[in-house]
Amino acid sequence: MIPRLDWHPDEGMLQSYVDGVVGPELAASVETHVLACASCRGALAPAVEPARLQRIRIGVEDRLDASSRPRPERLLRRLGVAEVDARVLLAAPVLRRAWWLAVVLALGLAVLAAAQDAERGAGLLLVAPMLPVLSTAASYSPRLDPTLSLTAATPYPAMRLLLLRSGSVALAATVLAGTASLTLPGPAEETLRWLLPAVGLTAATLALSTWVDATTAAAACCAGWLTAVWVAAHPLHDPLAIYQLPGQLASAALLVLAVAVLVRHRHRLDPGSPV
Amino acid sequence: MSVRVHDLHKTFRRTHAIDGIDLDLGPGVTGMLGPNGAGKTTLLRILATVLAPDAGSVRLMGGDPSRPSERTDIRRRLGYLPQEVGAYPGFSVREFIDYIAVLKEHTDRGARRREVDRVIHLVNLDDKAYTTIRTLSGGMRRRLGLACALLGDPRLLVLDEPAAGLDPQQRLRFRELVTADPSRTVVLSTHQTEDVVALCHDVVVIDAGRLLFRGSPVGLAASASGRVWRSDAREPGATLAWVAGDGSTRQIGDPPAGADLVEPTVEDAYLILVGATALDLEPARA
Repeated sequence: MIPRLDWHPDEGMLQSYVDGVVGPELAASVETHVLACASCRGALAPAVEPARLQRIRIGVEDRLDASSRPRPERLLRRLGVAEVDARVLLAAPVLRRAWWLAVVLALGLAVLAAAQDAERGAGLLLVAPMLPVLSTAASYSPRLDPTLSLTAATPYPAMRLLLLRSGSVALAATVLAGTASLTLPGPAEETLRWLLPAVGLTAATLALSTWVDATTAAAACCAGWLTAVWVAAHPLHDPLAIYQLPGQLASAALLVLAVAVLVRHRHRLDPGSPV
Repeated sequence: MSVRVHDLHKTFRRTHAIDGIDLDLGPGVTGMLGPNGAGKTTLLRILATVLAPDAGSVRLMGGDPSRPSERTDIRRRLGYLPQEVGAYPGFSVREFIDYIAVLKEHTDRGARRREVDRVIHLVNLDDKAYTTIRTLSGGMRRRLGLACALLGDPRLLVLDEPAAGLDPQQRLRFRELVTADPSRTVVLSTHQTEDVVALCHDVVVIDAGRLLFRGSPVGLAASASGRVWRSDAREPGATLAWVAGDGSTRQIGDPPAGADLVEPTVEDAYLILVGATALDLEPARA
């Protein structure tokens, strides 16, 4: 509809429109006219408080912002994750790379598992605990995140950043590897025996990161794991001997120790902290 | 004093990057001069709370950065531009500054948006706000880093070679930017002595982790008084000599008796302080 420009609202009507006391039909009529008529816009402008305009502008921008936020962020918000944490989690490309690493490794494991016989599948089970370890290191290693020189000087806690990133990636890697290992022959409780060692090794990687960088910590943990597998397998002639009760108890002990070390030395994760 | 440093030491393996520095800095712009490897970046990283010293004490805006809670409080009032601005290349300028603003506790979205717009405007990147970082030139990346440092109008700004890669016009704008608030403490490192003259009320010269000079740019220039002269050709007492625009040979070092002494500049004084060896210059033989 083309607004009529041979008619102009008088001063009183404009003031009533600003005060919000005109009916909806008249308000719509004034609004349509004002949008098309520069002189009435000029007459209206001084009557509107700048603070009110600012509030309206912020409200509109907030609505636009809310609708433009990416779907994963909206999903995390619905799951109760604070907006700041959701942004921190999703903003870093390094995290996306770590997730992709987890996905690719887990899918590779699944494909190999499906193609191999039971004996070789057992070998794959020994590799599974290293999956969350490698993905975790990739999620926060200073070597892989170019922004650390900037982010280290911000008040956002280093420990929180580390746990958010590594936790989300380790969780994704564990779920994916768990699903993949279910494709192996044997009952689920047999094929999921690697879970506790995986959690223990991941925690140990984080704890070691308080002394050395993340990639070195992950490499040390993987080397330690393979050594333990070899030592456990040798006397029993069973490649999966590490998953028997002593191995599980050792994993639980490693987890407890690693968490204690991480909590005690968490300040070391901040590069500005005295060593 | 916004910055108090006492008997500071930092060693990397066997190299003493900082070797017993004492420094008190107040509001205004302090320029830090020194050759490559002098310890400027190490000192600035300590002042930016991203590196802890091995020994000595540091107080920043009244807080002790070795204590976690005080360090966090300092970071709320601190802006830091590192020597290398690492950014995610696939992000737009706006997205990246917004990400850093989130980490700087700008939690209110509306206020954060306005703050991001403000700093983008301050560094004159308005027309690049939606450009991906991988397409930015070196100078634009410096300005991006500067925008991140300026978020939240920090009381202490630590800038590591902020003017590197800026063209003359941008350099003027940068000078305007860092001197706009006289109540703010700005510490910057530079290789450009003209920046020190134009910007700084205070200058420190460091080399091999030690403080060689602390004072005003005028005082620094005056420290070379009687050691700069000109003649028709290089003379034996000259540590450095070069042919000036008027065809005469400007020389610094120990002048001969009756030499035609000239008014020294900050650059002359700096060259005398750090010496030719530290500047990787091999003095020519007369």
